[in-house]
Amino acid sequence: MWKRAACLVIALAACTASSDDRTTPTAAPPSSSNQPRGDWRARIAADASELRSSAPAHYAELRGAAPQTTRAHTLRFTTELIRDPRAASVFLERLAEGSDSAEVRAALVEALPRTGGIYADAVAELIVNERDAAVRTAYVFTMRRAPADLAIAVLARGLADDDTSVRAESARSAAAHTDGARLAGELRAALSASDPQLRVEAARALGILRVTGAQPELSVRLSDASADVRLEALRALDRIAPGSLTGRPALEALASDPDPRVARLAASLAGRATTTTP
Amino acid sequence: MSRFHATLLCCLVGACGGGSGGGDDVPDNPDGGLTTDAPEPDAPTGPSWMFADVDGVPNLDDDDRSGVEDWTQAPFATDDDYSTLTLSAEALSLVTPGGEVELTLASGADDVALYRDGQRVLGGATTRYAFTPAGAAIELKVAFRDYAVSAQLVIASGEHTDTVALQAAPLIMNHHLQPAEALWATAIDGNESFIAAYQQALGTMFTAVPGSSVDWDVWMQDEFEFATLTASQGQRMDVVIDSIRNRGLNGLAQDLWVDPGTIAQTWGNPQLRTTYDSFGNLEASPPVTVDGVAYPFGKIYYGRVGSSGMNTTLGTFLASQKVQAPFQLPTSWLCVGHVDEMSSFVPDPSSPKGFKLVISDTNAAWTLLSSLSSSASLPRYGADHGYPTVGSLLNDASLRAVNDDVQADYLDPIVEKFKAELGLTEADIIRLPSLFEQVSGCNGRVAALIPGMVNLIIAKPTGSTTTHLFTADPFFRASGNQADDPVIAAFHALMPDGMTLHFLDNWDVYHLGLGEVHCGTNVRRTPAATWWTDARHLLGGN
Repeated sequence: MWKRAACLVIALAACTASSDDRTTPTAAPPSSSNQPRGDWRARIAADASELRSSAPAHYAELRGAAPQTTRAHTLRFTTELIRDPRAASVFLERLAEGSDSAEVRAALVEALPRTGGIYADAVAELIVNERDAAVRTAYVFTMRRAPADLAIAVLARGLADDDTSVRAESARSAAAHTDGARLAGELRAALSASDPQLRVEAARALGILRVTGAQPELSVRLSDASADVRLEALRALDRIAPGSLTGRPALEALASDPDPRVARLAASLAGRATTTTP
Repeated sequence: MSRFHATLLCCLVGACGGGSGGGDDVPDNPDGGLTTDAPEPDAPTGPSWMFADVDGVPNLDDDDRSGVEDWTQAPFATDDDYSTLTLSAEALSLVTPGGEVELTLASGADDVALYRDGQRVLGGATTRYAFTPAGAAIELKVAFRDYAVSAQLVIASGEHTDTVALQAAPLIMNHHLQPAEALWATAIDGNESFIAAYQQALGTMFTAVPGSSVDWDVWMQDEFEFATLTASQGQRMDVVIDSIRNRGLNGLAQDLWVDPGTIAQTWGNPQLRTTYDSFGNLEASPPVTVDGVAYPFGKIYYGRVGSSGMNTTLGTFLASQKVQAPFQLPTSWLCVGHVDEMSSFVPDPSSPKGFKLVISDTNAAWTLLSSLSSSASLPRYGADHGYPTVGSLLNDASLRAVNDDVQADYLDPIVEKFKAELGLTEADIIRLPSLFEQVSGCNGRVAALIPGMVNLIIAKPTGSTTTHLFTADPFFRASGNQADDPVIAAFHALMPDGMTLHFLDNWDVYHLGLGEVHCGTNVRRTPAATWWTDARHLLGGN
């Protein structure tokens, strides 16, 4: 994994989809306030210095802020304290130092978009040296509304991560990003991954992103051994080209799939086809 | 004794006091135990003995604070959890002079103990006891070892005989529509408005537990579930089902509630706990009738599918109590994984069933959002969810896909499950506009995007005519005025009349912590209905 670090910066603009892939916007455009300005380390150092001198108590609070335990047993910052763009710099400072526990680091990362500050350029670098998969997963998640080039680079790296959970989150976050279809090639490749969870997320992402070129691979996945994969492949094909499954034997077969969700969706699609066919 | 005769004679025998209620046409006979009504078909000739069945609460508390469960002790003055079986003087007068009355525990001897004048005469290894009547009535105190246990006591003398069913109360979980006696939430920095809203509405029946005393654990719903044991002689014992979750609130039951009359008990292995073992994932419906079978205490439901869900030790125990016939729902699609994230019940006196199921519905949310201006500003959603306007929600294809899939794969089947398990029709259901989103660290599982207003608290204080509904302020507006909020307006329009609605600010501490109002509150309620008359049919072979 660490050997891939050097590839990251080079990959910033290299991860583009094939030209035949039609795309549809998904998430809202990234906030212009999150566009990086200069070197991120210099920026957070300057921000921290300014905060230390102008609001030392606030700086100390942010430096010492501890996340609360959520109802899901994860850690999360739930105070108004973090709704301050300067909090992003302080949290990045803590992340760069790496002295917090992995659980707290994941919470610091999760909070970054909620600060309203600039973080994406730092994330692109910090993720490279992060050893904990849960923290890397959190980094990937923050890319959903990050500027496109940075986001695509981080997500591409995430799709090649050693850890399945990071790869799966990268696929989900690609689906949620406006320019996620630039990762169509990686997502199509992920349809053949050995881990069914990754195949599920790749199929979902390709459907949400309306990647028309993925239809052949998705059709193959209709007979995947995993019911979750079959479900998402079926759903993705319908999202890409509604009604395109009409009359296909695969749809009829899936209507009696042992998994009730697959069977229900297939029956629904067949019914819809029936009602829309003269 | 047959169920028929048990009911008929309920007012004839001292053992059925305390408002058990018999038929209005049964003559009052407080000395009871003898009837000259037509005998049962297989009864011997001559007057029959027909004693009333005895119900009671299991004696699991510690009324004398001795540190020992009362069941293991002989009766003492302050123990109020015994039931009394009276053999009336009139009944005993039928015994042949000098003859004996023989009491035999035909079954369940390990689960009951019978005392006469403070001495244990039956139970355990002792299954037979005989005495010679001396003209006076005989009172036996009956103790039960555990929840819902039962025994058969044969009372015989010569040609006179009867079999009395001894039945311990099943544990019955409260449902939302029962009168509220007390509410609790944890007070920490940041939830002052939340706490103040409860205090203002409920006064002294609400208690704010200092956060410092519970390690700032605000998820009051998750650590405990209140249940009750009741019996026809006026007994009531509260049972705090204490979760294996064991976070900061663990221990509060002992500190705050355990006392004579209230016990706490845990089912399951804390080493194996998951999020599904928190009690936002364990709820009970209001009373229902399903396929002609009445469930006067409703039915229990909790999140579990296959091997994933609330622990089977607790699930098996709850099923063994029979009267609330638990069923399971899928919740593994939720980041937290609790049934209270997507379903609840509200009273509706105007409806035939007296309540409505409230269920999260994403289609209703899209319909509502589509009726609004796309440019409408949503500052809170912009800051904390990345959606600064209504349009940004409507135009996010990924968000739409996530919610469409949640609706099709989970919420629609869950509605069908509720309909089947509770005998509901579409008219019994309120579909509440709700949106979910994937959250960091939850592997694609979802949590409420619009604060989960289905995660609500119903509190009708005992003796009050006011029913309060507490739920989250959705902050689906730019102004600070709740009157400007279209989601609140929709909630108002959907809810039945007759409730006072409170929209609490739970955004930071609860909503961003992946919970809402119900998650942060717990309620002790007054037991409803009488299982010994209303739910006998559900106890089956007991």
